[in-house]
Amino acid sequence: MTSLLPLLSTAQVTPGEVEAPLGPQVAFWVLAALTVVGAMLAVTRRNLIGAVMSLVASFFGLAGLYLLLSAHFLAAIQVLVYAGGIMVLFVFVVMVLNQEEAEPWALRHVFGLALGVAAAVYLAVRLGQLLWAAGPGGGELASRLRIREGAPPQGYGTVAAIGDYFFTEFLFPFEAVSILLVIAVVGAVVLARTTVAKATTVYELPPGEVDLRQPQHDARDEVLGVLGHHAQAANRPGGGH
Amino acid sequence: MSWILTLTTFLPLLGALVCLLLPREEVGLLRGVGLSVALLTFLFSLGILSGFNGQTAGFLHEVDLPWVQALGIRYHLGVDGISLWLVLLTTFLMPVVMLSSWSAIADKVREFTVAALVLETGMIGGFLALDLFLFYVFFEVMLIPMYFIIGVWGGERRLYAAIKFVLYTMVGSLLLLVAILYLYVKVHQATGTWSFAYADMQRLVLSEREQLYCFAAFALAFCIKVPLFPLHTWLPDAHVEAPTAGSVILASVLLKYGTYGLLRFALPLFPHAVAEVGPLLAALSLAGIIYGSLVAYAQRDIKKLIAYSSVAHMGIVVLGLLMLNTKAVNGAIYQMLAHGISTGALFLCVGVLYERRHTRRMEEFGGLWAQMPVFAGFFLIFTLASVGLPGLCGFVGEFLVLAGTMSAGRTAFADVPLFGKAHLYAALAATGVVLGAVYMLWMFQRVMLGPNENPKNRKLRDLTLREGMVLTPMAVMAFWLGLYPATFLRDMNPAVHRTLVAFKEKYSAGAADAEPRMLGQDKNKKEEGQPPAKQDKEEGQPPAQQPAQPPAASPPGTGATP
Amino acid sequence: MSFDLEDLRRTAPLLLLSAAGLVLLLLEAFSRVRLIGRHYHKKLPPETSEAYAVPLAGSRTYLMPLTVLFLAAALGLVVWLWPEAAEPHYLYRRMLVLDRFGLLLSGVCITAAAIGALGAPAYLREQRMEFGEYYALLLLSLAGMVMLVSAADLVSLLLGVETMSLGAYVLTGSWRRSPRSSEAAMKYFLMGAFVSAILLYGIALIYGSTGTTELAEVRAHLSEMRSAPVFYLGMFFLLAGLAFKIAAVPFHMWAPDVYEGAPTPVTGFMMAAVKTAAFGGLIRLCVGGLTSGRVPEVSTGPTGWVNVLFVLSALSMTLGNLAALRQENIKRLLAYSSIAHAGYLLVGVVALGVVGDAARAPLIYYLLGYAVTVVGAMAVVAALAMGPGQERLPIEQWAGLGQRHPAMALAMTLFLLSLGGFPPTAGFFGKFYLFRAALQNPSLLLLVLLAIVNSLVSVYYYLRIVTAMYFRTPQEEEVEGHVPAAQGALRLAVLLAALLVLGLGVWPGWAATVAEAAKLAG
Repeated sequence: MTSLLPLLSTAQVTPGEVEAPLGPQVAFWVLAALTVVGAMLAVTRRNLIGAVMSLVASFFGLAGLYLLLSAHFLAAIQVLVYAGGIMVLFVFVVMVLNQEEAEPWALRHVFGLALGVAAAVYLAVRLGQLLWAAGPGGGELASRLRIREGAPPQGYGTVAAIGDYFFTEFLFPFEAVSILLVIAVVGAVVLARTTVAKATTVYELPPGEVDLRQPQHDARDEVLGVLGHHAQAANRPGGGH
Repeated sequence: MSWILTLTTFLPLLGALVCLLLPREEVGLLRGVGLSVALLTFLFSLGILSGFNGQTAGFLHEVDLPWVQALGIRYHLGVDGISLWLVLLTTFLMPVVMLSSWSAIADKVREFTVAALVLETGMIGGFLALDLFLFYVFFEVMLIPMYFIIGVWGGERRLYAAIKFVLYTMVGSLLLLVAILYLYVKVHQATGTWSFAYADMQRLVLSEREQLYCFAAFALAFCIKVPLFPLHTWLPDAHVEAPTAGSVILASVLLKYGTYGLLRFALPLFPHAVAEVGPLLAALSLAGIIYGSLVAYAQRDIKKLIAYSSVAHMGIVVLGLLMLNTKAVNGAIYQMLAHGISTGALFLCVGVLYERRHTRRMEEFGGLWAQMPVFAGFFLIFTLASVGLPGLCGFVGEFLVLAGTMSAGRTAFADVPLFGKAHLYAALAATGVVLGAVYMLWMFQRVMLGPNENPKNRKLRDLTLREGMVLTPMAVMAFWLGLYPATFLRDMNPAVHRTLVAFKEKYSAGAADAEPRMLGQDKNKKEEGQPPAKQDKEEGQPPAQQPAQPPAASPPGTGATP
Repeated sequence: MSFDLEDLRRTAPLLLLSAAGLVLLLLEAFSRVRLIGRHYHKKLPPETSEAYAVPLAGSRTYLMPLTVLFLAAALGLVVWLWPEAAEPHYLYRRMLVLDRFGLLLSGVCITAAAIGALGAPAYLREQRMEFGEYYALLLLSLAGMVMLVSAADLVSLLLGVETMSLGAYVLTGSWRRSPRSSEAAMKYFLMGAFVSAILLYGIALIYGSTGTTELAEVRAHLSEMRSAPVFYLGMFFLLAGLAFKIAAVPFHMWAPDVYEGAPTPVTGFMMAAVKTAAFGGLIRLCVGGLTSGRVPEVSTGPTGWVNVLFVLSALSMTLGNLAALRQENIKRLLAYSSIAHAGYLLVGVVALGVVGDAARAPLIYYLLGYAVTVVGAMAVVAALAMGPGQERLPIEQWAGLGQRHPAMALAMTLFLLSLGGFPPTAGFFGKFYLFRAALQNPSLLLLVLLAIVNSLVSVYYYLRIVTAMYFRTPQEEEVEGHVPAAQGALRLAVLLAALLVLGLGVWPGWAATVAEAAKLAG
């Protein structure tokens, strides 16, 4: 994140843009920090519940960012679906797995911990710097954040507006996503399903036994080629092992 | 008659397809089909001779059809006095090779026949192609079957030899491809049309620097193939490991691609670069002549000895080409043919010995003359032909090259400041010829003469009828080339003359400054209409219209006849 | 109305592929599967000796012909739309574009997939992993590719990439009994997900600096972008994401493992179709969105995409080839060779930026030639498997195949020669055509020379396989009584690929003409 700041500074001032008021600026940086830190914690915590909860924090931060952009509906959905629904599922899964909680403060993680603290301190310093600079008369840094002049269009970010987008401008992506989802679902099923053998009726012959439900020389054995050899070997009295 | 070239080129490929469809157990049938296709090809190739009357200097039997229209790639075949005899050499050798491998190749006969026939298509097509893209395709097509022939039917270290052969050749040919592409783009810049045509490339004039780089790529590709002295290390391996058939094809035809490529492409396209690095190449070829001879002398393996003798002989060819006068270039081409016959035949002889004894070490033999008199006779003929005894094929070429080298400082292209010390070149090359006599005769003595001490050699059979049929045509050709060179020089001379005139013209027109240009863009047609008068004056050579007594041909021809 | 009804007709191949995928899914779900029993066999290696329940031959065999039929129909639709696509048509509010470039690349992907599908059932049955969703996933993934190569907007580009990749992830992991397959899928998915995020981030940054996601609009706004660094960062992210999909060094780490672990027909599908589609997306992005005469520095400037791709190209072909030299496993070898080929293809993309439109047709031709070649090669590898879980992967096991399976060995030789760039194959002409375009600007001479040196290196390892097949004596370790899977359809697939490779090489004119006609919109 921080590496982006110098990049932003070269932005030219174009007409039609004004500096954002201080309130939203502060909110942006706080929310952004929340999102990033939450995400980082989610992947670094060994404690599963802790990780999931950090993720929730990250999602909330994201929802806040949406709100800042006047995308009210999106923010609501973000909270409902991700922070609400999906997270609850995660927590359930974690609970069901019932894993022992990992030792949160192991000595061997000191290095990682130090790194994390250093990163957090760095981030805080940069944030403070930014906020200080963005204060009244903060000048140069403040110009890095601009928003377009004027309020968003009437009804921007509402359900109706988004619905409108979905069925006009973004109709194709909206529909195409369904293909993506189908693949995802089918893929999940394919990968998660246990072997065919367990899912369906299977008969197995003990070695040396003859299956009385089937004719002795099943024509299917020939069709199957190599498998046929094995099948016949198994079916033949004494042929198995 | 324009179909004759296409037919000759693709008949072997057709035969290969037929063989591919035959059952692999039918060994006899496969051999028969292979031999008869090769023979048929030879017969058809004789038809190419029909248009030649000793005066035609241009390309005959041309076919020029679009192949990839959008890119200016054309199916353009044609034959002139330079390629004519090389094509005939190829088609003449192939039946011989097929027949010779009758018993040597017992395993995977179908694959062998297919590989040999595909190879033949590549070899013939390469000599005939007048479109550089087409040439490149044929040039590459030759590579794979030869790789298989060495790798599948070769000796113990065949894998190593095969891959070495391919990689060496590919190094050169890929650079060649880049250079061809470069020329192609430049032709486009100069004329606005995309063309790979040989004629267009010949008219393209580049700056000296560009010429140097392109020539380097061309020369590297062809010098590896020749092989010129420091690039020759693949040759002994390939020759020794290849089966007899492979060695014969390799020595007799594939090596010729190096010198043919130099003469047809590398020299005429980049005259200024030749003027600059020609002496270096000539020095390398001299080094090759002497080095090859000395190393050959040190060999104990007959096949390896002959392989190194190839290095020396091909060095003479390159030297002749670089002298850039009619005599020497004629001699060089002649030496290519002679080397094809004599070395090919020597490899066949070694194959005969190897089939009987499964060794090629000289110390294993001795005194075979008494045991195998007919074979020894043939062997003597080919040894002497290779040495360059007057009356046999090797003499004419070597003589012409040496004579041409002697006069290179004075005659024809004296204003191309190439060789101030041509005498020195000639003298050094002559030592190589002398050394050649030493090691060849020494080899003959150790194998054929003296007492027959080794008990394993006591029961050796003399030539079978089939082997006799293989060696006889080669001996006939060795004598023909040695006794009546006019047959061959008659049509060769005008083509060589024309090539050299074109070289001279392009040289004297000067190199381009920055932008490529075409030689005589508008007066081109005029020149073609009335070539002789102007050229003769500049040439100082008899005009091309007197083919009955080609100047270079008569002295050795008559002199050699007892 | 948010779109023209004509739009539906003009996306007919895409719609057909999606619908076909769903139809196959349903058919698979409702078809009765009869199974025959478990079999233990001592010759099977331990990891495969778990119970094999095998669908009865004939129970779902109609799925493959149906798939091929659908693919043929899709190809027919591509041909049907061809005349209309002479002029570009923007569809669905400029989300997609119908132009000949997109159509032709769709055709390449569909052809490669069809050849691959032909060969799949024999292999899947042999490896005891037959499952009906295979074909549905294939078709849906293909729909993603069609989306990708006809994207006119970064959003549809991303959607295409994702749809295509999700299918590929699942197919990679579908060989449930092979731990390598699961590992490959895991790696592929994790890295792929990461790359999706990068792509998305890149799109967001581009949007942030130009205010649009539509490629043509992005190009139009290049001169007035709000923040150049943000834009360049976005561009690098997008390039990195697509470089991952085409397996260009240094974004190639997944490729060897994934290509090796995936079931062989899937490997072929990924090497051919996924790569082609990803290149299509890359070209759309670079030429359609990031090349503007008014702002040349975006393409040819010091930080322009041409320089980035130049470096990627040089790295890919060099490292890919060097790594391939040391491989003993044929799938891994071809995986590294595929990385090297991505490098050669990038020469073409670089040339698109430097030389201009002249490099487009060679690129398309090369993609076509490469696609049919690798699909064919993978079909041969699939055909030569020696039993369940026993693929013929180590090169020494290829010894003597020239005698034992002459037809397959001959076909494999042809494919390898094509990969190595020998005439008269598609690979040779493709290289020639590509280098010809690149050489039109002298600044690319070095890159071309590097490519030439690299193809020389590659000859060595391609010929190693040929050497093994023909020059070495066979090992006697074939499973006794085993009939290789080389049955009808698989043989047909190999034959088709071989004919295409030869046909494209001997008569390159027609394909070149078609490729020349395949203009990019905008």
